[in-house]
Amino acid sequence: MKKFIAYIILFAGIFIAIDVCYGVVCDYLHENAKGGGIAKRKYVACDTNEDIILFGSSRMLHHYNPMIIEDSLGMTCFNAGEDGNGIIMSYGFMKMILERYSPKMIIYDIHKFDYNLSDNMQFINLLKPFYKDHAAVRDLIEDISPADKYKMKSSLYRYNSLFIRVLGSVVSSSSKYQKGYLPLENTMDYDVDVYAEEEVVLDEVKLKYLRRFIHDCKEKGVKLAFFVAPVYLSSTTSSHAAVKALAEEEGVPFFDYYTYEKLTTDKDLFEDQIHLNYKGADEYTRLIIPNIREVLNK
Amino acid sequence: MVCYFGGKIISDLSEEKRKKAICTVFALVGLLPLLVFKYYNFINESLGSLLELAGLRFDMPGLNWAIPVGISFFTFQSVGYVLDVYHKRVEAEKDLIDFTLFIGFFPQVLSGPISTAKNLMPQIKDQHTFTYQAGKNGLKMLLWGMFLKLVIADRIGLYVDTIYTNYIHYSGAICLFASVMYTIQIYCDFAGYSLMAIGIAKTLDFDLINNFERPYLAASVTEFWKRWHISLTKWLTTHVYINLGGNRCSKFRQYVNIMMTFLVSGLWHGANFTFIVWGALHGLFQIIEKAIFGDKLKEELKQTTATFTLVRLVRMIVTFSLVSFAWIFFRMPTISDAGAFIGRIIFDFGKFELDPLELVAITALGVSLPIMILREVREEFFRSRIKFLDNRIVKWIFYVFLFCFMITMGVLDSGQFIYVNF
Repeated sequence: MKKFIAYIILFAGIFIAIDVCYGVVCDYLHENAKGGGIAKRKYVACDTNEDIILFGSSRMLHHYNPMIIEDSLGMTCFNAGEDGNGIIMSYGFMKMILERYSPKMIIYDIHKFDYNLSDNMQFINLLKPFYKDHAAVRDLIEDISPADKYKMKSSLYRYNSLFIRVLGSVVSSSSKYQKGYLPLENTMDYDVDVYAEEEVVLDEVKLKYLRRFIHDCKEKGVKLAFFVAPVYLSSTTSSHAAVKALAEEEGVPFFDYYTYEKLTTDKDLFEDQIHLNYKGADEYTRLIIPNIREVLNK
Repeated sequence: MVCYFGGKIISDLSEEKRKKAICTVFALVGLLPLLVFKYYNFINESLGSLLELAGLRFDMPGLNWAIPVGISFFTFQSVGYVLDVYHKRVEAEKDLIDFTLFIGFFPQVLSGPISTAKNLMPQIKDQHTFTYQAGKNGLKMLLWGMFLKLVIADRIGLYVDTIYTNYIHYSGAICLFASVMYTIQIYCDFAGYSLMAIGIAKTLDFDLINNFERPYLAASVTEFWKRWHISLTKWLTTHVYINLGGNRCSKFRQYVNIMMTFLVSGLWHGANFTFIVWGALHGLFQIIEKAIFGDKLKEELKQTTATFTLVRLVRMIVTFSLVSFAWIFFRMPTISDAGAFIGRIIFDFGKFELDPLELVAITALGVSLPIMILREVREEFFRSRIKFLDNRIVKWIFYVFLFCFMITMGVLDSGQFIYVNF
């Protein structure tokens, strides 16, 4: 038994030594990220100073062209949307921004990641590198995954699945992003049926963070508006009815283009059923400019 | 409880005919929860569709119950016990607490291995003390199992799920690649779980049956089933195949027995026609093998060590391809989806692109897959030949690397094991 425990301690000692060294290297690389998604997220967390910040999932990332917003409104704008993420990740980044300054407006694109029940652990991954330095991120991560309070002591865990990306962002400064926006190039070249809505099972945790997002914006005097971008051949807006009700209750403007026929029936504007391509994104962004102006002038 | 009392009652009976009838009753009652939870809706829907074809409509209420986790595994273990008592392979257990431990032994209750009373019950009754060797070997198995599951299976799973659920948007070449990836995923997922279960049991000084023996290095589908999910294969062989007559009958009858056994195997995995087709394919492959190679195959299976030759390599590739093909049915939600998926591979091959395989996945798999393959090949063919890998320092470096790599490259969300669904 003694021998077994001695070896376990030796194994743990080697692991801790590697973990500490790995943490030093990864923190340094993360700090010096120049390109790609890592640099974008570091910019959102630590360096943004734009008037308008855009949050949401891939449907924000690929649908809202900040250059059009800037040109139309004469204000600066940055797209902080992230593929496969929603309110949980967005809330963390929003808190880091509000620690530094208050943008004039935040635009949030609503998607299933903001209300539908799922494993929320996946939404904290991109926030983990910011855990050490931001109390708000710590609170959020530990709320979603209480065990992370202990797991985050390990740098190997904190940079789980991120090392290669961090390394890549230091080696190459090139970036596909245009002020955070990532246009999709392809056009949908196949036929699909009417969009089949997923069954909605509301996620109370996500709704809690949506509400917190609204309250924090109000507290800091940031104007907030929710948008829902079009989906090709969509037929009902019932899926996001709960968020619409929440927005009404909290007095947040809600602009729903989910079934906006002028766009939802034109295949040329889509890359796939739920993502507009760059043509669709430009047209859609131009379409919502009056709504943004309306909110800003209120 | 049913199986515990069933065992006791059967062992007290002396009249053979009555004993058989009582055994059948207890086995069926033991299987009842599995039949109700898992197959009620399937039978209900299938019957409904069949009656509708005949212009009849007969609606039975559907069940919307949560299926107990691991029900297929602990049901087979408990029913296996009843049958073993009937066939006098084991004595009926008198101690209810020991019997409960046997059925609910925690490392294996979720996804097996399916133990026999003959193997596990004496260990439950024994006194156990911690030994350095058992602790060390158990932890090594646990670590290797976690590595297979978190780094390989779950990483591949992210890719496979994307392709299989949206296969219509991907070329046949990508679908083919995804089907090979799924073949690896399901192995690493299930063998990973089994190794974790066996490893945890080992640290407590319990020896569970080894569930996997490098199945993708098998040179025939028949050999594959000697190496894949060994505990289920043994259960089905003992309680289904042999009871049907096994191979002590005419060739034709033996082929029917094989097919029946694999249809049961398919159904055991899930209440869906896709699993039945999967089982039927494996049955068919083995029947064809037996018809073509016959006794040669039998002799080959008796050999304990395999030699690496070019012919064996070709046979391994053919077996791997057949097994991968069958896994398509296993993975797809419906037969028509499986057909459409295969159709894309055959008729719309197109070009291969790594997208949507992310750089992280390429890195994780680029490191972990060669490690797994080399480890398996070495254990199969060159176990005693590459001596430096047995060096203590090399082993320490290897296990520390596995642990660190798993934490930084593993998929550490709350993902589940594939076989927990069964």
